[in-house]
Amino acid sequence: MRRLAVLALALALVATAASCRVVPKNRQGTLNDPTMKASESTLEDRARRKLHTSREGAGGGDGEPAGGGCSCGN
Amino acid sequence: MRQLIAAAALAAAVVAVAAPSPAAAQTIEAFEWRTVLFAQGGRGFQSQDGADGATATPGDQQAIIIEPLMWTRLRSGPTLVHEAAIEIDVVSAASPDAIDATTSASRLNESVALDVTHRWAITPTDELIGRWGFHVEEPLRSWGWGGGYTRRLLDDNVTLGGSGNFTLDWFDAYGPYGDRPGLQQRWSANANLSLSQVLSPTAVLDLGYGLTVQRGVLETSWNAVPTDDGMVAREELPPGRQRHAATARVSKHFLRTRTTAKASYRYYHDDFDLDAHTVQLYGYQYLRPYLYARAGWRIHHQDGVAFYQDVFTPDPTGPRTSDSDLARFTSNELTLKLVLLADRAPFRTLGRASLDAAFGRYLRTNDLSITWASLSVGYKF
Repeated sequence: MRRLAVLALALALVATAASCRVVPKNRQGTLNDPTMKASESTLEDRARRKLHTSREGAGGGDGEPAGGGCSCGN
Repeated sequence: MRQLIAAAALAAAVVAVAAPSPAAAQTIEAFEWRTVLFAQGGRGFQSQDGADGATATPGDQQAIIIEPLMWTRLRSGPTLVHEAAIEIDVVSAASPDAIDATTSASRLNESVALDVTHRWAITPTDELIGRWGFHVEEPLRSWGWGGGYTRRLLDDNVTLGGSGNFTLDWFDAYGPYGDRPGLQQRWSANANLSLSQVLSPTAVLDLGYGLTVQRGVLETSWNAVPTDDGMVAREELPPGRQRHAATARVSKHFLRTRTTAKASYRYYHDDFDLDAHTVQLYGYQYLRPYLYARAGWRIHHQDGVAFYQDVFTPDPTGPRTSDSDLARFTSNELTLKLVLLADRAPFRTLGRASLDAAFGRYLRTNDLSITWASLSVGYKF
């Protein structure tokens, strides 16, 4: 699965980076579309992060503090 | 009930903070209310409801969780913004365990958490972030503090960020036979680096890395491991854990069809010998200028900690767990979401509100399933 993931990311990078250059602010409007934002909703992120970190021992630890002892994200 | 009262007090405190004061007029910029309902089924050895080590039968983990959440953003002048999130969990009968012998805690357990973030734009391109919060749950108290810094470069084409967090958990420990060792604690320190790079007018690349170090009593004190004589023994984890997680995500919008695609990969490794790979794919499609749908698929595979076993011999020694969350498994999650952005709609009756409804199905290969649904109302003032 790791190879597939790396391949998928590499393809995506090639597809998107072809025109990689400094984009002036007046051409960044699409990047502010709600569907393009890194986070659509703080609360949705929070609820889904809790779903995963409280049930997957490998959850958490990136961007947010990983508390708890087992897999608990609290 | 005490937690719910505490939540009400917290909500009142947030409103009080939002109230105009002579020193600094504050205005509410945005607000969101979300309610999520989880229905969980499956079996795992951390539940003692019907668990039997002698016959390798895991316990029932059926649970219903209702999770109301509230978030608001307040502004105190041109450079200072505050965000507060309150989260309440009401959990029914999750993984009945030893605590039930003395308190019946898992029959119905409530928790409440507050998370406050302050953002200070020190220059047009630099931002300082401070955060604090706490989590209250029987029998756990948790406090957290953190800070961060972001800098935007090259006409906002690049955003660099760094952050750190510290969490202290303090809890009333119970043993698997209902014995009570007393108050115990653990702490977590977390550092993160992030990079966001605009690739084109319609594409962005996000990279992140996080390191978490944990020390203290890491096991869930009342967790038990089944032994093949039909009894249980206390779960025991090493006293420290070092966790690494790296993430890459590409987001691309297709103007012609008004479609957005996102793909991300996350690699995780820790010194419990746990490795994991997570891939997430999302597709967004505008159905109207004010209405879009999102479909998502997430697959997660972890290989399990080195000291996991379903059943141990009597009187085991050394690190040990039978917690199915730490086992080897693959999980799949499918999600659907519909979002209405009223400020783009031809009708004006909803002002600047946003509404969304989402549904998800999470399935784990070691017998855990969750069906969840959420409804959200947001408003920008």
